[in-house]
Amino acid sequence: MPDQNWVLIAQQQIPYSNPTSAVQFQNLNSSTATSEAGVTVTLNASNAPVYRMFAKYTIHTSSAISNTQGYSYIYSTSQHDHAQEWNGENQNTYLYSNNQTTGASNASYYTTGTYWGYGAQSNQYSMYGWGAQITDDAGVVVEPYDRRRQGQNVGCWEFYSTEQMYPVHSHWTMICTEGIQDGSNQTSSQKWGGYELGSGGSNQSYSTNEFYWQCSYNVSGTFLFYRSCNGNYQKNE
Amino acid sequence: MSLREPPMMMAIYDCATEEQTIREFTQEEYDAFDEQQKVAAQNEAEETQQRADAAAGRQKLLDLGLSEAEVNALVGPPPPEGAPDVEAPDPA
Repeated sequence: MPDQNWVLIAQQQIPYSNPTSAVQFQNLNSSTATSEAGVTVTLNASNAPVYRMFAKYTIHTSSAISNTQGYSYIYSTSQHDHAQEWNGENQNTYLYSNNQTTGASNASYYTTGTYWGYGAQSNQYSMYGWGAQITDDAGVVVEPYDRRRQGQNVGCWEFYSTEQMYPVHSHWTMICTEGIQDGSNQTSSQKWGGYELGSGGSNQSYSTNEFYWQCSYNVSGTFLFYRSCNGNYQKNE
Repeated sequence: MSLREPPMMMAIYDCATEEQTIREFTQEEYDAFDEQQKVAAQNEAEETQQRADAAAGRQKLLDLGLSEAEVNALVGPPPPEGAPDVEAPDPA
């Protein structure tokens, strides 16, 4: 078997019944893993230079998400040396299910962190495009706004260890649902999906010891934090 | 007692202890959040204005007599307006 180069150093499950507005990972540089020799080692710039978080999350509102209402940064807001965001379609991210066009560009330029709100979508609609009530196989009536029928946002954030000095972080988020915010089921309604791509650099003294992620609304979901390794490392064996 | 109603919560995972904590924002974090919301509102207003300026500029180009194709070549296509779906008028 080839080397297993990625280890899951942290995961946070935010339950739907107990949502939060922010997710934080602290002391990233204190993470440990077990080497091929069976030795517990601290992951550092040399043996694990890449940090990557995958997230799948539900945003508990029907309100539109503006770009800066989705927000993240590495360690502190002062350590980003510019971040540029690309949002698809008509500069306010809203895709229409009946209309596809070439992305028309929207790049904003930030220095305090990264903003991904235009690549996210609220998930508590009164109606979904496929109809009203349904009855599932167990005979349970499921409303169109039931949590089982809500959309999910996904995203990935990646950055590098302090010492690597790569140009340094990148992220993407996307969503596509049949959720219609206005309660209609018209494909000409907006709020069908969105995406964003972003990247940026860091200042010369940045640290990677924390990662902070925030949404202006309550969020539930799964946040998986990985480190890449230069060998065969394992975690939680 | 919460500092704010409804309270805003933060989930923190400490990689040193490998433990998760969920707690309410501290006052400092509320203040930082409020400040960030102000920045968000300001950015939103600026971006809205940029979109309005872009639309107005596009219209002025059309008023000058440029064709839609010429305007598209200069400044790109206009944002979509949700035209009727001729292939699938009803959602699946």
